Amino acid sequence: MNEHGIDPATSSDSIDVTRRRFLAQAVTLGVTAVAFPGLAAATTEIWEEGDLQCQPPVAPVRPAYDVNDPALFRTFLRLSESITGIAPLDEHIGHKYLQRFASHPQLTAVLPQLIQAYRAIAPGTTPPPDALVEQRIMQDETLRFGAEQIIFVWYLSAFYLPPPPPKPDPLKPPPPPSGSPPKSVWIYGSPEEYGAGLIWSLIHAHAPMTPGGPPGYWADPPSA
Amino acid sequence: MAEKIRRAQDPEFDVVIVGSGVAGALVAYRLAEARHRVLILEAGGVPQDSLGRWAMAHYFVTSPAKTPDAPFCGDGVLAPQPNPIDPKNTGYYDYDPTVKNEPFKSYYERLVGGSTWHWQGIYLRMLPKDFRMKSLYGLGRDWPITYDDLEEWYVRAEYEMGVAGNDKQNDDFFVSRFGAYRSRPYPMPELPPTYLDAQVSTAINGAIFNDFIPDTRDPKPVRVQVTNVPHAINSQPYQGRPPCDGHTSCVPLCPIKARYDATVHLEKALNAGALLRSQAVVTRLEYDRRGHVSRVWYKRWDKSETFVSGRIVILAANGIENPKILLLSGDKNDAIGRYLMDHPIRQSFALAPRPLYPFRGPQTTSDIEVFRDGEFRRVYAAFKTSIKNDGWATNMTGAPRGNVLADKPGASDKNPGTILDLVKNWKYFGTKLRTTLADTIPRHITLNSACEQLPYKDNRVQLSRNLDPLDIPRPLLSYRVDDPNGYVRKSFRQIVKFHAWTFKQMGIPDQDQFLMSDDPNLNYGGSGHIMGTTIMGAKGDSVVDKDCRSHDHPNLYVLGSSVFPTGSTANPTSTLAALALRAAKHIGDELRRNRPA
Repeated sequence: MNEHGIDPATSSDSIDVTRRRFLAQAVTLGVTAVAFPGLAAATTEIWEEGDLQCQPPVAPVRPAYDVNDPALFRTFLRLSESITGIAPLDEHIGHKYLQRFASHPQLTAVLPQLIQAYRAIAPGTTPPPDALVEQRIMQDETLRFGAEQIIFVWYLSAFYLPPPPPKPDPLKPPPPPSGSPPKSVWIYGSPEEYGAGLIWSLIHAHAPMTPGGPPGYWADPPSA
Repeated sequence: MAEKIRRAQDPEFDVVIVGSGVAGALVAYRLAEARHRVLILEAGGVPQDSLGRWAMAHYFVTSPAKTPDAPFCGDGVLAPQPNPIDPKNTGYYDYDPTVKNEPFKSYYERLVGGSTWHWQGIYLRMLPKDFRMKSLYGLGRDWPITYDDLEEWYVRAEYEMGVAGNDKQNDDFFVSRFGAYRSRPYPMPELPPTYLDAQVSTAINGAIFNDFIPDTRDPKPVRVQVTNVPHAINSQPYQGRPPCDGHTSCVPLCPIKARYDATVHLEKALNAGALLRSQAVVTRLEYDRRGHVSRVWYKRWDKSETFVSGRIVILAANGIENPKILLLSGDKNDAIGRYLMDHPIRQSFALAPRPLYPFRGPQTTSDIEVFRDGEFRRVYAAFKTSIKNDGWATNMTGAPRGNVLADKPGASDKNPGTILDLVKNWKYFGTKLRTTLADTIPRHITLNSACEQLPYKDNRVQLSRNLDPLDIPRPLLSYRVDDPNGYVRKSFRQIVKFHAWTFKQMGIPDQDQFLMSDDPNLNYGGSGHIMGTTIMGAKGDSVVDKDCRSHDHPNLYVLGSSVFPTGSTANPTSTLAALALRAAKHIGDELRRNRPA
């Protein structure tokens, strides 16, 4: 043990690096389904595992309800504000997210249930306390599934869902066979939505590959 | 009949260049500018780039992966290549089943412009002592050229490509400490360091590091200094390209072309009269009785094959494809494919006590280079440490978004860092989610250290019996990241000590430091710096001479980092670009001397 409390020879056992451990485990679990003769077990620490190169071709569905109903939109926006913790939210982007959510084959059915549940705990314009949202929405497995996707789309402009099968590419080797269900990936929308992800303004940054400011802006801390 | 007509026209070109990355593009431009007939054969296609780079940026922002090949979505762009999202890199690479292997974690892009599409533009020269590893430290090999031989060409490449750097810092630090002089100033002033860099500098600049692994030879206290990274990124308008405005996406793409990529010189080469054939995958070279390359055979993506000929042939693919082509051509030189090297990476990350504001500016603007040379290189590998400006995005967390989930919800975690983790595992939402994200993510920091890897004969590229989708043998790799003496492992131990020291200097408590353990399997990352495999040196022990000319085929040259006898700690582009310009001069002189009547 040195003066910093780190002994490189034993640090994996002596330090409580729980996050590191579970992530390493998760990555290892993600790749051990395929046998690689002659390869020592290893994990990777660079770049992103298990995602796709191109935008998955999600075929939209027609919702069984009127997605242009103003009341539906108002509730969607207020629900979004409650579960993202950010208000007021941008209505223009909100319309786009509502359209994406309502027309997504894996999400369209849960929206009316979410709207109904939220209206039940917030009949007026006053947002309900987080504890009530927790009890009535986030503890319900079906509603939680939809609510998580609303959080993801507002913060990142992406849903986190299993993708549809990719289009075959004759110049790329086919993915290795797997008996497990497809892993969820981030399914993004338009570039406009990508740049509007709430996370970036929340951390005083900008979405990568979008302009950040004038040359050299990064030398100073972000302005309040 | 067609064959006879083609023979009557031999050679069709003065120069046939295989590969359109930075080496191929620079030499193509130089030789086309000198009015030589130049043909460039590129295995891949052309990415969509009308309307600036809108289409490529669009592909990136809509892709789930956000990986280096994300901008090149679509048919007709990428030739068969390694997959950056395959952590064991087995989709294209094969591994020799008769030996114990570890994954070779570096990959590349096979398209017009090569892997310069996704580089960070970091432009470090090798140090003078890097050329003399064997003489000075008894390890590796010496280069057949010196820093003095190459300095002029470093300068020329810097002015061709546009490099921004700090001249005073070079004099004060790199000359005084390493003897790495410059004969001309940088073409542009440096890119300013980020606010994040400044916080690290304030914490460690001038501090004494004195915590060495036990078997370090002659450990001496090291005064630490944070240095500005030279970049092939514009800090001001340069040759028609704009200055960097900090999109923070050098990898995988600079959407405004402020960061140099090989298309800059490809366009110049085409304007000077060079021809480009894309989707033309070279399968082998054919030699005449004198050993000259008489034909370059290539395959189109419809699998039809044809050939072309040139007075000079230049292989400028990369450290995997260059030896592969020579082996496919039946070359018997035992050095071909051997001494495969990379810069193995060890990362650490932490949660700083105060906001550092990552995700603003180029991905790396400052680094720590005090460990690039010293007596310790007799015992463990030299390394440099990049201070990352993109938080935890390049480590396995993939923050702020998140890539992976724990295998069971609610896994123990003191410092959740990603939206995916907070929402899925921790069940955060509403105010708690917002305040946690706002509090933690601006405090993310990653240190990324890449070390040298010695040239080992058994780390090599051969031909696999398995074929790629074009029915061409895939590369068969034999690769170990370390050797029995633990040159890399010991360096990793030292790196982790240094990371821990840096974090402590920043006031980061132990529980907020995430350090890679000294695991038996030696967890490491790849830098994408594929070196060795067609090394330069004396005949009988190497593939090319000091001018990058093949020992076995007088009209064949090999360019790129595959000719490096040792890897040093410098990102290879600066050195391979300098070597390419130097070779272009040599080739141009030869073409003029031997111009046909």
